[in-house]
Amino acid sequence: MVLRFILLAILILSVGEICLAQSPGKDFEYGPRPSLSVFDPSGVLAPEIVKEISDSLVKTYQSEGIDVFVVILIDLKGAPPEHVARSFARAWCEAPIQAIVLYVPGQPDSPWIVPAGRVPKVVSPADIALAVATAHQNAALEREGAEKVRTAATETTAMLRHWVKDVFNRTEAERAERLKSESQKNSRTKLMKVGLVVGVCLLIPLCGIIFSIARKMEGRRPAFFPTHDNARRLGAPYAGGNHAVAQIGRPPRSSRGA
Amino acid sequence: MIFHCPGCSKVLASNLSWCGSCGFTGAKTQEIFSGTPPPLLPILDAVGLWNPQDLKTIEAARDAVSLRLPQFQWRICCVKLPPKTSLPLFGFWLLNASPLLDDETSEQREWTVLLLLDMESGQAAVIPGYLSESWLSDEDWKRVIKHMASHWQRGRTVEAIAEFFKQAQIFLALAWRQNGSRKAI
Repeated sequence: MVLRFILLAILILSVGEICLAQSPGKDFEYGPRPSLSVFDPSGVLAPEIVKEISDSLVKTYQSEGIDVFVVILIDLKGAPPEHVARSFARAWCEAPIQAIVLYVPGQPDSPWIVPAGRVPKVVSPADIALAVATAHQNAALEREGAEKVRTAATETTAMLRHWVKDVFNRTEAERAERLKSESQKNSRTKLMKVGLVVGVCLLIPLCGIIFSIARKMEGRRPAFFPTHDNARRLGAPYAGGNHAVAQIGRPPRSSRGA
Repeated sequence: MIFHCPGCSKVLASNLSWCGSCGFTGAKTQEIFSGTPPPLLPILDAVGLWNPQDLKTIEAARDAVSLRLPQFQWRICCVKLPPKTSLPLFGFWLLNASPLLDDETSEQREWTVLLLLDMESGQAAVIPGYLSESWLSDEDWKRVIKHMASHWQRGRTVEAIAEFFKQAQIFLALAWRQNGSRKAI
């Protein structure tokens, strides 16, 4: 029993160690974003190439808001490349349209291209996978590491630019159109409600008027009584007599005629 | 339905041929009011109360009621009777003894409602024929008469007659709602 507990504890600790080792966030102090858009702490690329690639990326970022950041590392220490790339994106990229190009010299699958920010939320996973595979394939065709990085950066920029133009703008336009449509629909609904209330308000007095006219018309139509032939009384042929008499006074003498 | 004797105003018993209280019969009116009764014109103004314009106004009020209640035949008779003459009795005699007009049928006479106004006594009476008497009671007719009293006492006799027609129509319309029909019977 005690042995089992010790083995379980060792297992948990080992798994925890592996996770920590794979998380660059724990080992790496990101600090503020560097001024260049290429992060090459080990100096894998020549400084002028780093600057050249970075200048192009910075220019695109400033003019179009498309943020492509290149990270060059010697070793990922077993961490998944996408995980590392996203960590850098979270730490340094602020634009909604962003991507990390992660290059590790000597790795056959490198450079990895990882779109981040709002891109995965707007562009379908299938489209991302296809575009990334194409860009990666073009980069892989280059022999030199510097060219691989340059091509990957250029392809990624083009890929993001295409999405901005075709997907983001369209989505925004659709959203605006939808909002406009909803607004119009709301206006129509509101108008209909107001119309309904006004209609009902008008209908009630109208019904009252129609009812009143109908009653008045009904009141003007001739009314007939059934013939109650009462028994003849006192030998009189037309009227049996009664006693409906009341005092009403006399009109003033001045009102009387001749 | 309760019938009153026009002679003594008592309720007639089951025997309708004469009044059990006073022995009155229709024939006795011939003794009381000797002579030939005048023709029962629609408006019989024996005291010269109304001028031609007044008569036209009264006829218009009557015609309005006749449109609504075409069965009823209305007669207005303004007289000055000797003192102590019973107005219901005089009306009874007039309605029965007065000969039918040329264009008048006996059924129309039975649908007649005679409004009798006595300038001497200051009384008014309504005497309905056999066919028109079923719809309003004596008490109802008294109410109708009383509605015209205020106009009458102020000398607005034409308005008083118009008020009579108006009130008669209201009372008869109420009676019609319970018993009547829109079609001629």
